[in-house]
Amino acid sequence: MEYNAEKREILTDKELSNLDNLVLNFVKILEKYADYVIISGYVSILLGRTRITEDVDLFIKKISFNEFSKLYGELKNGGFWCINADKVKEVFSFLEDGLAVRFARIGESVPNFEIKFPKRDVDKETFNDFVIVKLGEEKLKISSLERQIAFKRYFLGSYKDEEDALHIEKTFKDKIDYNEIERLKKIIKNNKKNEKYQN
Amino acid sequence: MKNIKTEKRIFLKPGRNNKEERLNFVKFWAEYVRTHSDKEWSRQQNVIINSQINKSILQK
Repeated sequence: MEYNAEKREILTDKELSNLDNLVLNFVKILEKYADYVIISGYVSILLGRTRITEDVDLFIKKISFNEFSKLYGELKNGGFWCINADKVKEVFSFLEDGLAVRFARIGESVPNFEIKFPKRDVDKETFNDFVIVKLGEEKLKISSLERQIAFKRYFLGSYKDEEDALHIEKTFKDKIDYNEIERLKKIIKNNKKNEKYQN
Repeated sequence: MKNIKTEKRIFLKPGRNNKEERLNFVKFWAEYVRTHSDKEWSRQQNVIINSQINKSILQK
């Protein structure tokens, strides 16, 4: 894999897995209606981590109900169903309430695609510094490597997340911006503290 | 017989407990990914992923 940090681009000629192909199928429909960035575990898997996942998490930029209805219709026609609700209004209301909704292949529940609107400012920033992974003719937008490491390590924090962060850190070790990780770490810790007081 | 291309021999440091063993493996594998062709590491990775996610899911 070649990572060009300036161009924010990763080039790879890896063999695509069945999961990669499923993600590409989903994203081809999604990106017609909404700007997206893939976050969390699948990013580590795409970049070589040897594990599987039950879900692929994505942020999508806020879209209108009208646009979402079109997306929902095309996902249904494309062989996906929403595992949270059937009525499009209800599905959209979950998103508007800051909740995530999940789509899977019809007749299946996993793997599924968990989509949500970013809520916090730090989440909205994901759209400013994403990285494009070029897989031959295909491409996927993932959150920055620094964001992956910081969120896995300082926000999520399970063993699995620590291992995901370590994989990215070691795989791209000469090209990681540690100042950016520190900046994100401070924001994440502050947000955690504030959210704890609010709850 | 498969022609397995190995660009660089690397070794896994055994861990003293389960956590250390797992973290050492992650470091070992990241080094493998760095030093081997994408085709080589992804071929091995896909044995795990494709055993869990069947190709038929793409045709639904």
